[in-house]
Amino acid sequence: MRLRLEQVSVWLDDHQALRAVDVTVPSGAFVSLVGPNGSGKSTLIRAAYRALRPRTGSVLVGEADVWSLSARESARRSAVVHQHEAEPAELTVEDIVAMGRTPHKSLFAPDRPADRAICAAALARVGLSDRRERTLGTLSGGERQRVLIARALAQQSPLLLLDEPTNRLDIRHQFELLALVRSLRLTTLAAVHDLNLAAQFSDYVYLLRAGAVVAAGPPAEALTPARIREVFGVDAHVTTHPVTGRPYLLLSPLSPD
Amino acid sequence: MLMAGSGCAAGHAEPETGATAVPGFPVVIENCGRTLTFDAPPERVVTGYQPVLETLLALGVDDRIIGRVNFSENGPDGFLPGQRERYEQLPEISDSILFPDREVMLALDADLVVTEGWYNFSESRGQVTIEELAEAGTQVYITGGWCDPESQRRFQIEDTLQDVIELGRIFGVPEQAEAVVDEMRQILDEVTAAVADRTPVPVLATDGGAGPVRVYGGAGLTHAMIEAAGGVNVLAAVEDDLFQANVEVVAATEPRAMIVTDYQPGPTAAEKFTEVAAIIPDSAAAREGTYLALPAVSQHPGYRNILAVREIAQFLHPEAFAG
Amino acid sequence: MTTARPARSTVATTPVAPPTSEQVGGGPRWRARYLGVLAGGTLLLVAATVGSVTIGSVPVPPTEVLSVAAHQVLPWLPADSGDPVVHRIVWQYRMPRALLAVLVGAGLALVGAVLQAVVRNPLADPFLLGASSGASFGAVAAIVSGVTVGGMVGLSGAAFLGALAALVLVYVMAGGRGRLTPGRLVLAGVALSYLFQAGYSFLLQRADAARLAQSALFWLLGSLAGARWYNLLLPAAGLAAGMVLLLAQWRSLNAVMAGTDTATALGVPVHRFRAQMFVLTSLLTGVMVAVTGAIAFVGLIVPHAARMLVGADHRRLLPASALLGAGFLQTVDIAARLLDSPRELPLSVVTAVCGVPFFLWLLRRRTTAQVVG
Repeated sequence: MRLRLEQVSVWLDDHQALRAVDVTVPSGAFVSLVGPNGSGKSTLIRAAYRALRPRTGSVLVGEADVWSLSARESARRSAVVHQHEAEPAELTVEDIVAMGRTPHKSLFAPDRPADRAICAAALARVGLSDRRERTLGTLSGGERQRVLIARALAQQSPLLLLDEPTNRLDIRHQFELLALVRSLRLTTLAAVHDLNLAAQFSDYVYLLRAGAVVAAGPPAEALTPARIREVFGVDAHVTTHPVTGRPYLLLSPLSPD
Repeated sequence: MLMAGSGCAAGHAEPETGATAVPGFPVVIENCGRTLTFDAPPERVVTGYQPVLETLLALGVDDRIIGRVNFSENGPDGFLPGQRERYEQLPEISDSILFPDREVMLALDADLVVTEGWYNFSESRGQVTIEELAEAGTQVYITGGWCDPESQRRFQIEDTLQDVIELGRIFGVPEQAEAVVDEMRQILDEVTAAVADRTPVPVLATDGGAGPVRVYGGAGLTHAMIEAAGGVNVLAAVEDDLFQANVEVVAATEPRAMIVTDYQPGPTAAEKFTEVAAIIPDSAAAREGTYLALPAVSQHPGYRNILAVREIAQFLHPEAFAG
Repeated sequence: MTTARPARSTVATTPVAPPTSEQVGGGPRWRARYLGVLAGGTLLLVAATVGSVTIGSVPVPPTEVLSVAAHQVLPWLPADSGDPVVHRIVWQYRMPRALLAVLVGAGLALVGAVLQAVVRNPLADPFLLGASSGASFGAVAAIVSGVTVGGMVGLSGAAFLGALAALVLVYVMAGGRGRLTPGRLVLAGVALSYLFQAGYSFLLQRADAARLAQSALFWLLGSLAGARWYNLLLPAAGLAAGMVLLLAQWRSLNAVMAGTDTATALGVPVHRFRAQMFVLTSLLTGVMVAVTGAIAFVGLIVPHAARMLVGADHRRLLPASALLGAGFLQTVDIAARLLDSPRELPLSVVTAVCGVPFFLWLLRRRTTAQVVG
């Protein structure tokens, strides 16, 4: 299922956070949004799942405008993985993953064996089946983030949105998480803080600055030294990583000239 | 006639006869644990709730009253015969049955405040306290011995008579007081004689309510009146005056008559009777609709509550008073 | 030499302590615990209800209670031989009262649990959003004005109107449908509560209300003493319906508890849901408060106790809260009738005295993190 944002502008109070951005995520692709703080990455993600309403432009999930759908129908199409800090720490892993079934259940519908099977499969996919009864607060950051991915999987949505999921994770967990997401082969749009992680795992990258798209394309094309200097104010030297074979950016402070 | 000088302060000379000395004075009275001393009859008097005013009217000392409270509670017909005109001539200082604000009371600069209730000096309501009045040189006389809730429960009818005697001394009209007391004793003796051989009537005294029910127990003025009037209080076992009773307790009683407190604003006595009668539908009181609407003023110490004893007796034993 | 421990941040990124055996529950263990709480709660409720109808100023053995109920409900039975006064006491007063205790206890606890999730505030209770103060104002105004149209039914009507007025005012003050954030709801509710409280305090302070103030005060502190069949059946139906509707919301409540964004992502129309919950809980609170006055403490503490026992998932929390709330209020009501017999004690007094020690005991057995979350 394809995600498209066409000419989307979003205002937060009096400040324009997104300026007529166009973003396309082809079906099955992993697309990253990168940019400094305040560039609009999170805002864009939130506009994509209806947490924010664009003042102009449209958000199309599978060719349907999300705002023409009901909230539940929209949630059946797109699942979101936020940072884990906001989740209630006293819920069990099981309960949190079960929340993913919410868009599929009407008011008085109980959990059926089919739902439980879906949740169990989701947990198995992220490798946390043995942690089912633990409360969230007792897990490591990486594990918690994986629980949220399991929840998104239980939601069975073709589109996955991630809002800076690797922040505050140990480096190993960062790699594991994004590798897991890639392996899911869902249409994925992720706001990513670390340029090299974006470069390593993404099919396409959108570079944002001050609410506008500055560059777009495969990582090697979008993340040029000139662009990096313009957007981040640092010098970049692009290499190819000897092990992964992906573009790798060596960053240094701006030289005086 | 000079009182025995036991209360004279040490060092005072004997009061001289003549223009400056008043016979019978100084008067020393103990009231609610306070010692009240009068060298002369008070000339600026403030009265509380209606029964107090009625007592002073009976003693003929109403010309000294500089302020009285409002009597709207008893409605436009709630006065004893002939008293309404006098009432309207007296200055009104409060728009309710309670005393007004502290400042109003202090500004009146009274010698004596006479009232029936310890609760009329509530600081939290903005009223003046007895101590503050004392500092301003105003003395306070509380009738019926209603110094606090506990002593209110210990009230006896004799206390009302005692008040009249003491007020007579304070105002320098002992003979008039004797006359009033005699009249009261005559009423009480008449009642006692009339009900002497009659079976006491079980009575429930109530102020309405359906859950809980406000009722009068076996202590305090209402209970004393019932017993004196040839009735027996069905809730005599509870040692309390007015209290909020569990509806079951009331449902288990079987009165033959009910006494319902009557005042405004609020439900009428008839409405309150109907409400409580629904709890005891099998009782004679409910089946026959036997109830007496007793004005609230009668349930406070004063001239009126002696009259009320007769009124209750006439209600409970009408055949004893016929003819 | 001791190593410095890092200050515990409010946002945990790594586990701060190894999980205790209590925290690492087996799925079976959580379920067993839940069933245990349900069983215990039911036992408490049944025992308390039996106690409520048998204990009183007139003790009545349970068999006689059953006989009374049977004779009332099955009119073709031969006339029973018991004391009619006792039977009237049991049928007209104790049974409606026991039923009301179950309904109101469950309702208050349920509303408290729902509101704690909707406004994401552990101090939320049924009275936070103004319904109770509005109802109190309506009731006091009716009492003090001496207007007695319809007796107790009229009083309940005035109280309910007050609750409705509060509902509308808070809704408008908080900004209407699209803007009911938890913060705005709480602020509007608290502000309006203060306003209504000032209103009825003023009415009570006026000295010409001196006699009526006593009844009003009793109402303000809550009591089940006014329970009768005729004034009970309509609120009971409303409560039952409302509770079923609330119990069904457990998924959305779980989602909303995790935050507005998460709830939106899970397909919950958050603003509309909050508005619906606000209206539903305010109506339910209004219906309860109209009959019993404002019974404090139940809606605040019972959800917390339930949360400590069965966890935060609303699928378990809501039924557990309702059950424990019913049993708690039933027990407390027995105390309110017996402690100062033959006098009635207002319920808010007794709920606090009974509830706080129990809650403190429960608190000591759990860590704070598990309470506030």
